[in-house]
Amino acid sequence: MKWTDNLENFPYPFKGSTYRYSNNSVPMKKPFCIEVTPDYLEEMKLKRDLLTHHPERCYQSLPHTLTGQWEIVELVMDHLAEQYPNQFSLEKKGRQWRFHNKILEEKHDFTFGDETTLPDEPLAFISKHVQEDLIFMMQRDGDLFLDAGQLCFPANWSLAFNLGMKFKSIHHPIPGFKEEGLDDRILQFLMRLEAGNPWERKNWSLMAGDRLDTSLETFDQWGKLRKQVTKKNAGELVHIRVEVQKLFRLPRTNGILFTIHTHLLSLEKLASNPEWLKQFYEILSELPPHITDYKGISLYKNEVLEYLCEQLESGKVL
Amino acid sequence: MRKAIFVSGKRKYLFCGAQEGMKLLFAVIERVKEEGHPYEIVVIDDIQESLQLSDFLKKQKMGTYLYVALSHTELKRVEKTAEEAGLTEEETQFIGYGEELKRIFCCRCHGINEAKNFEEEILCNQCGLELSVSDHYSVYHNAVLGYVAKL
Amino acid sequence: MYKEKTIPVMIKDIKKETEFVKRFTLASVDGKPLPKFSGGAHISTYIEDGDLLVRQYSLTSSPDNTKHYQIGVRLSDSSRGGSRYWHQNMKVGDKLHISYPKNHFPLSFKAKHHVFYAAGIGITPFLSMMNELHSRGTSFELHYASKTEEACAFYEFLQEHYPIQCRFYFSNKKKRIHVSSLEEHPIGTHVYFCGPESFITDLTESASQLGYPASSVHMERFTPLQPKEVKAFMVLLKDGTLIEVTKEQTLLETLLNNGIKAPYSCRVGRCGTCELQVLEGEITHYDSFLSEEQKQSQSRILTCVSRAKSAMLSLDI
Repeated sequence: MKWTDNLENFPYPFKGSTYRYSNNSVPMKKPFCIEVTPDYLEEMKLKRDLLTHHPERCYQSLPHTLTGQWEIVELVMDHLAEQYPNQFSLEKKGRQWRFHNKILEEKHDFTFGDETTLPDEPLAFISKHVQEDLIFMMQRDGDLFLDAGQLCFPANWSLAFNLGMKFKSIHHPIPGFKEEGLDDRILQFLMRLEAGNPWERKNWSLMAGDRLDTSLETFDQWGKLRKQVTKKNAGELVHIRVEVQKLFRLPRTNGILFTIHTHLLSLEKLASNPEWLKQFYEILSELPPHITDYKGISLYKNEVLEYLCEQLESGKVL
Repeated sequence: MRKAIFVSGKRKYLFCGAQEGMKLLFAVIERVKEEGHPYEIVVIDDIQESLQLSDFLKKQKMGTYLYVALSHTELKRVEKTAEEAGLTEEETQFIGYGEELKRIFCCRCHGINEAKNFEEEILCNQCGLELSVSDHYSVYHNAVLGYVAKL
Repeated sequence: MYKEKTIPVMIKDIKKETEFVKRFTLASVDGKPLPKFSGGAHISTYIEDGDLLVRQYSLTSSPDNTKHYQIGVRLSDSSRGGSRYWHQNMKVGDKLHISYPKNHFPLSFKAKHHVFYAAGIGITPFLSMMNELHSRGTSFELHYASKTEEACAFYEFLQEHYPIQCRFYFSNKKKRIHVSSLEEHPIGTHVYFCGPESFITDLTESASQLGYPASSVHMERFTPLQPKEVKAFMVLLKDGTLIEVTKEQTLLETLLNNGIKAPYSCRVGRCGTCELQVLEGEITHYDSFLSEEQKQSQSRILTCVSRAKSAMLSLDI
């Protein structure tokens, strides 16, 4: 199985010919926090395997998040049933709920608000039905804290380490983020997020390999591939990784749900679209070192540029 | 070492610490006396006394400001006691002395390692991975993150 | 332009709480459940009465009740149309739009004890906050000042639900909330003030004099800080247009009236949506959104409440 998207479904992230960190969030047109793609079955299997074998890496929660977790269960189930009525259904009789995942052929009867009627904590439970990673940020005492999350497909960060951390501390390792005042601006933006008015943004990076589960915990394994990139194999080996992040204010707890849907596309496929190829080459050539470093591209940036350049030239010949 | 700084405008000042720590608070205590503010001094020289501190703190009223001076090894526990009593960082100053160990969170196995402040690379005592010590700090774990040192 | 999504609702019930306060019960038009909310939350209400009347009211019902919302509206002496419309025109069965619940007055998470100080209609945000604390089993108390027992909105409700936690101060019985009450609260207390400007100012100043840290003191004003002396000023737009903001209008209203698609949402200086960059000119800030540092930088303005200090502002729009 190759964890890569088709060209048509790929959430291409670039605009213009340069890239800098910014709050590139936009109001959502279709306000759904999840998306079911053709990879659903494969990704659910991978996700459930990871959750079973590496629970501490993939799931963390603080005890005071239960109300928020239930709020997330309700939001995600409502959206699944509303957007994909042939795949999911939800019946509510007071607090007695029946959730039916028709793709996985699973039926769950439970009492809303009563954890003992679910096989897992509410957030862990619902995360086993969606491709997205789910992060719950609590707004408390004038700041945002990462207080619970299910994270199987991180882009080189550790949920366990970041548990209970403030928004700005989480972003502390990003070079230039603080210096440019972005941490303040984005925090302020998130704190003013309103229920009923969700936002989304795309975040991108490059990676050597096609793993979805690039956790910090396993970096010593997958990070090595960065050293093996050559101009010859870059098209196949290197992937662009795009996270579609959706932001929902949860009105009951006044917390925020981040859903992160991760997509991978090989450079080869990216380069098959001439406009994308040209634009991405321009952006990557111009990218300042503090961004290439943080995105983990520095070790093989030159090889990728050489590869892209070659593709561009061969395009001209054709 | 952090120095105790006088914060004005509080209705009462509390000074807690071991005998040795009191020396570090001396200047502030003098200032509080001089300006005639209400204050109390609590000397903590054994564990028993630090346990009683919790009840003592909970009896205080809003507007109280707390200074604590203890060795780094004891300081964390008293910080927690103060926080549990409801004192926030705006109402407290914690001054540590003596050797301070850094806690390092292993990115691979989540084990916590202790190391001297100046060490930049360590071996994780739990999984043996070579870690490079970062400045990414977690209040929740009271530890900094250790990254993979060599690929 | 940022335009918030709204929910169509219908008036289900109107109850007279006191001589000047009415309680309205709202339910969604399509019968779908309304969103839950957190203690201290409010909604914006949108009423078409020739002009569009947008007003903010605290939700006074239980945060978990999704069948209906309740709000308490006091007929204001200086009503610009909002409360007068609610009191004189609104009937059961009338339809209007409301925003999703928002919360600019949340409970502290780390507080060990919560103390609410209310004067008059300032009681409203505290009703859902007390409900939330009560269900969590967290300790709280309410100090509530009113002219008389008869004029005291939600008096019976409070006596019934929180008899131990509530203390009433009726000025006709010569009882007043005294700021010395703040001296009694134990370490870890958070205090919340809601009422007229002078009530909030007196309590806030006393708390600060006692040494309360700023983050333990919370307040909600009925209205944004009012400019004492409003004067007209000019604004210069990016395309070179010069327009006048009269004494009677806000900067935001002037921009919108001139067909400029300026962003906005709350209109009371709270949400930050209407922020614009100021290229030149001095600003007097009246919002409760920007930090002190941001205000001092004199480089951005919340157009819904803030005005020019200098004769002209040059804006990046």
